[in-house]
Amino acid sequence: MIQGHKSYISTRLSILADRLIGPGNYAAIVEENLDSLIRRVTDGTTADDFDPGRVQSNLISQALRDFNMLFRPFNGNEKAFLNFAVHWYELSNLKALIRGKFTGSSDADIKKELIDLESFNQLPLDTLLEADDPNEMMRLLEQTPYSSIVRQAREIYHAEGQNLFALDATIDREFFTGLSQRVRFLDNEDRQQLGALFGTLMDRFNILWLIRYRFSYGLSPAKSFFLLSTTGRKLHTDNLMRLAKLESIDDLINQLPSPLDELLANQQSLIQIENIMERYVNESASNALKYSPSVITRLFAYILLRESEVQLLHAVIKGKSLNFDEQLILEATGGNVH
Amino acid sequence: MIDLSVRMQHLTLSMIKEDAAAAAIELAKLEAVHLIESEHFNDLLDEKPGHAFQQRFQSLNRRFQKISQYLPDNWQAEAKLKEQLSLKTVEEADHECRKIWSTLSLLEEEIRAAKEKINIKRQLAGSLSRFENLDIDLGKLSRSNQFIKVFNGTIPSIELNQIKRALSLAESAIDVFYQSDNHDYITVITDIDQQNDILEILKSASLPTACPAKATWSELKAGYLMDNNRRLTQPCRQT
Repeated sequence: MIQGHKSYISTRLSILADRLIGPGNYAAIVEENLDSLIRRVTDGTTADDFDPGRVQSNLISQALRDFNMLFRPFNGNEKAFLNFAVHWYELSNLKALIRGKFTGSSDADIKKELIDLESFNQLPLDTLLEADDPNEMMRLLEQTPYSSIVRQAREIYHAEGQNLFALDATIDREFFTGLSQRVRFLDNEDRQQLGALFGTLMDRFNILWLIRYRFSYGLSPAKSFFLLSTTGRKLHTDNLMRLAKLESIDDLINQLPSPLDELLANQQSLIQIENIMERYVNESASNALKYSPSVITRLFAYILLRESEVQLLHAVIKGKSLNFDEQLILEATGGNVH
Repeated sequence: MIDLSVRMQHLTLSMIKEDAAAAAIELAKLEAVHLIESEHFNDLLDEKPGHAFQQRFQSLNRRFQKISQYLPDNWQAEAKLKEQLSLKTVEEADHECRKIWSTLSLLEEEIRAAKEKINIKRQLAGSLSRFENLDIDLGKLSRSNQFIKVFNGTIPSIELNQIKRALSLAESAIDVFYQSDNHDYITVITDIDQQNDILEILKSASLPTACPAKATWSELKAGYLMDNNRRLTQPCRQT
């Protein structure tokens, strides 16, 4: 990437970073009235005309437009990494399609869950929606970049009980393995800087997945470990294998390396653990966005923070539309985590 | 005399039919509006009359396009439209096309599964050719046993390390007996009580199949050729 482009991206990033909602402002966002929040995400629509079901889609579309602008000067391995990272959003389309077709939902219902990824879209959504049966949809999926998950999708479809959770796990695992492979193709300095942030992100997901697989779904240590993705910054293969064998959440948290053990000490609720780990990743991303000399690392940090903001605004608007208590919304969004 | 050059602004007001009379009276009171009832617009807003037809016709067209790939090149429609097509006729045709497509899709799925099986067997036969001179009963490995279960198959090489570690947590043994470009040929030995768990892991790692329960290499090869010939002599588009 040439120097002029680096300066352009850095300036753009600084402007966009200033607009992000910092953790200190979560409470203020929760206290804001619904009308003003909706105006914030739709450029002027009022609460009366607004469809709460489209909140997430609107927020993601806005984020994707910004990403598209930021990615433009990149090419080669850097562009491949960034484009792949944004396909995280497409996984939710993929899961919604598979889940919808397997459970016989109407095309209209499935369509409501799909997000328009505009230029980042790799799935032929209309063609897949028009498939008359799951077998046809899987044959069509084989012609997309997601062909590698089709074998397992078929097995799950033909198996009794249709364990869709296993398919979701495989889709996530393939995504992070693919992303990790793309980090390896970056320049040395970018790889080191980005590797640290990516590792922190993987620590977050691996802890949450491990707790979910072992204690929510009751999977064996072997299966739980196998479903985990690429290793993280603090949690390496040996840690993860050891943790997979433990029999309670308490034991697992006690055996975590520092500072994760202190961060999660005495936590039992998965939502709280999720919020704490999200805050942990966001702090790391904020630091990278401010101080990293690697532009691609700063950009990845911005993607993570923007994704977190999308989830926050979506949760707050949804909670307020349903007249939930503000304290409850604050807890659910992690606003009470310090 | 009214000046013919008076310029009028035409407005169209749409409302629910039942409210039209009351609204007309209110507007007439203004003495500024000249109401004209136009037959052309009558009932326009009752529903979108073309919408259901359009949707159904598009659905029929999509299904017909899918079916038409299976029709011979020289196929021509016998019937030509001589009268207006009703919604009911389009619905019936769409329903019929859906049934035909459902049958075709099932057959297509069978063909796909058969081709996949042929490829797996071809891959296995290729890799086992180096053991051709050993007259080992391969089927014995896959048969049920009182205490242990043995799985044989191929996995993508990229999955090997993760599988090895996961299997070590289940105290199961794994041996790679052959390596090709992107795949490893493995034998996994596990406690019979853990076989379902291990099988799930292996399936997650895209283990395509256990070694077929044919007795010896020569039988395996003969079976492979027989299956292959049978499949290949079947027309793929026999619908």
